[in-house]
Amino acid sequence: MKTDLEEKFVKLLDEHQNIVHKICRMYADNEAQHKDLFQDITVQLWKAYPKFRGDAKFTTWMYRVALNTAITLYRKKKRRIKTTDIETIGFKIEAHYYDDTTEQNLKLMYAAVKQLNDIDKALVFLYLEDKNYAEISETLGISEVNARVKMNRIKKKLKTILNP
Amino acid sequence: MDELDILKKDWKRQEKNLPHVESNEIKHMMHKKSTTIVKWIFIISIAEFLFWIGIESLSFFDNSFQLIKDLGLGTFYRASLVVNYTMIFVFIALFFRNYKKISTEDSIKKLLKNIIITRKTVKAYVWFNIIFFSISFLVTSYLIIDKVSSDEPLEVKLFAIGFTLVTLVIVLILIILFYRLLYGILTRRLTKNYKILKKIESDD
Repeated sequence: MKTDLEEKFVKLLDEHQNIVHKICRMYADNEAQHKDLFQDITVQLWKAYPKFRGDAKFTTWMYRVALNTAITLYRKKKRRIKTTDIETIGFKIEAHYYDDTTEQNLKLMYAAVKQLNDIDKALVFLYLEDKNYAEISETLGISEVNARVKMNRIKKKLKTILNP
Repeated sequence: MDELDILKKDWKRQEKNLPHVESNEIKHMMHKKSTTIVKWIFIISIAEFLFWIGIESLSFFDNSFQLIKDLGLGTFYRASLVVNYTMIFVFIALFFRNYKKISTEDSIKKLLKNIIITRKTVKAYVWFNIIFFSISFLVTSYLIIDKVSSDEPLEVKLFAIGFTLVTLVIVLILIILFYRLLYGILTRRLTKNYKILKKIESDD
C-alpha cells in the first residue's frame, strides 16, 4: 500500500519537478542551496502527500507546499557564495532571442527580482507562472484586491529600475 | 507589453535550462531527514518545558522545603505548586494544540501565523515562569534576610535587600537577552514575512 503511494508520488513529482526547480531558482543563492531546497521541498511534499485528497489539482497543492517550504521552513545554510554563483545557477538569457537592450533589461530584471523580499518574490513567481489573482491571493492568504495592488507596485518598482 | 510580461516570456524559455532529478534520486531524497525551522522550534520548546519543570522538581529534593516551612510559608508554597503545575499542564496542552495546527497546505499567511502563535505559547510560559520565579525569590529572600539579620543594624539589612535586588535584575537581564537572541535567530525571518503580509492587507 505504502509502496503504491510512494510510486504514485514519485511519478507525480518527477512529472512536475520543474515547478520545484523554478521555486529553487527564485529563493536559492547558489547551486548548493538549490539542491538543499529541492531536497527539503521533496521531504515536505512527501510528508504532506498522504493528506492530499485529490480534490485540488496536484500542481496547485504543490505550489502551496513548495512555496511554504521555501519561505517558512527552509533554513539557508551559510556557505561561502562565489560572486559568479547567482549568474551561473540563475537565468541563462539566450542572446539570440533578443536585441541588446532587451537582453540587458532582462538581466537587470532578473537581478531586481532576486533582490525582492520573500513575499514579493512569491507574488512575482506566481505571476510569471501565469496564475490568476484568485489563485495568487489564496496561496498567499491575502485578498485578491490587495494582491493586485501589490503586484502593480512591484511592476512600477521594476519599471523604475529599468528607466531610472 | 509591460516589463513583467517580457520577463514572463523569457521565464517560459528558461524551462529547458532547468536541472532534472531522476526518479530514483527523488525516492532517495524523500526519505531523508530535514531540519526545518518548525522542527527547531519544537525541539527548543520541549527543552524549555523540561528545563523549567526540572527547576521546579529540584526544590523537592533539596532541603529548601524545610526552610520554607520554617519561614511560615508552607501553605503559600503548596498553593503555588498547585498553580504552577496547573499552568505547566495548560501551557503544554496549548502548545501541542497549536503545533498540530501547523500545516504546509495552508496559505503562507496562515502557516506563518500558526507557527508564530505556537512560539508565543512557549514564550508566554517562559514569562510566567520568570515572573513566578522572581516573586518567589523576592518573597523568600526578604523573609530570610529579615530572619537572619533581625539583630543587625538597618544598614546591613538594606544592603542585603539591595544586593538581592541587583542580583535578581542581573539574572533577569541575562535571561531576557538570551531569549531575545534565541527567538531572534529562530523567528526573525518568520515575523518579518508575516509583517510584510499584514502590511499588504493594511496598505489600501
